[in-house]
Amino acid sequence: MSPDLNDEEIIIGLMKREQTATKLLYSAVFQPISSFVIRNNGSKEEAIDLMQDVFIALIEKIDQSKLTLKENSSLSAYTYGIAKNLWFSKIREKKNSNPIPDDKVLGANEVKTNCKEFMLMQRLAGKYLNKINPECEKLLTLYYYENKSLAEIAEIMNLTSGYIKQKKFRCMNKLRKLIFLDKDYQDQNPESDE
Amino acid sequence: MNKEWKNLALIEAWLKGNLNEKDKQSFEDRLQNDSAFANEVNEIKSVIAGIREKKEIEIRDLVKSAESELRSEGYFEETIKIPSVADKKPIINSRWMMIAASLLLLISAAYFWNAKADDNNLFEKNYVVENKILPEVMGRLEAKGLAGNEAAKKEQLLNAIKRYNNKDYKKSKVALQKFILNFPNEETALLYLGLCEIELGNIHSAIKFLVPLANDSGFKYQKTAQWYSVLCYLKEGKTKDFDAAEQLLNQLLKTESEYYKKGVELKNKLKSLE
Repeated sequence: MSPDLNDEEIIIGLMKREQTATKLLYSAVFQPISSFVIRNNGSKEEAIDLMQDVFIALIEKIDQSKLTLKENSSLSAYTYGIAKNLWFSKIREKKNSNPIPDDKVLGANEVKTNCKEFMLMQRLAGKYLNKINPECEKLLTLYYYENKSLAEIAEIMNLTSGYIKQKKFRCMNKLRKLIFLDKDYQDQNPESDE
Repeated sequence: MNKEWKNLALIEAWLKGNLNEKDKQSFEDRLQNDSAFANEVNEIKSVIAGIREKKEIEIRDLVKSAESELRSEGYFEETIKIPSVADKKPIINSRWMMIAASLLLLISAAYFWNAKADDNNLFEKNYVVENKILPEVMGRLEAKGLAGNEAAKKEQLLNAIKRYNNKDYKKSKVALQKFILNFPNEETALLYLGLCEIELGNIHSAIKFLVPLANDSGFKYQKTAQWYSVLCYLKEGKTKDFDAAEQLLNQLLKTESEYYKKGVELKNKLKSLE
């Protein structure tokens, strides 16, 4: 166990996706979050599920350099705040769960087809992201997941913005081509000529 | 720049909300009327969603892995169990628990009792309330210099340990349990919680807190945890506990410490009983 990691060290650990930092923060915040969820009509199991979304939101903020701790605040308190907001959103979603059926907006078959294709391409993009070269994976992740600008990426990767701009398009097309060549994609789109 | 590239830049600009009103309107008109373009937009959106989802899955796996490690350490049981002991109906619960524990002990004793350890009252002969590291622990906690949350944390732990120092083990235990709810990895608090349990006669519970610390080479007071774990095992007096006590004692005696002399005496005594 490493009980002495401070907030800054935990944040760095989360950036590096380190298990020790994740576990340490998890164990520090779970009990108050669980108590909060239970006090607000939830269960312990729901609190455990919520922890996944809490960490996704937190790590996204860290990755996107949007995490700012106020003076006298702590990472635990910040994480607890995220959990509270997420739980209240879930409660609101439950209360307002009266969505307009998709087939009222588009034809039912059209929705099913679009949705199926979208899901397939989404899954294949995940599958092939680390099959293209590491530089491409890093670049696409920085741009599309971490929302970094081309100039920021150029600085991180020690390259010029112009090169990054071209490289991004090439990487994206490479990824798309791998998807189009996938058997599942071709089975679903037999007329595809890419 | 070929056609694909041009569309990608345009689509990204639309997705990021970077088009002006006129271009946005023109883009959305085209989206309605040009099915090939609409397909391309959908493809790009799905690929971007896939990149994001991939990263989310990595985080989910990381959290699941931490969660499963904590589960295997009994973290989720502990965090639920501790407040119920501390806050509600302690008398009825503990009485029934004690009766159940006593019955279990009696049944176990019939099978496993090892006369070597208990007949010689090795626990009673060696046990004294922990006071070797207490001044240092309290001194560290009293030391000024930190502000904010860290200072509040130290003060909370100091108050709990002061109660141990004043021999108010019940209150110390409750205070330590509350502290551990907020800081479950604070090993010094776990150590003193284990020591409180010894004083309150809950040896089995004490073992649960002390033994993980006794095996943690990174813990500053590992030797203290080892010494009291050995004594707890001897107090339990079962064959398997007796073996565990010997193993921990051997570990304790590998290096010099404030428990070394007593440890050697205990080891010799145990040898003479074999």
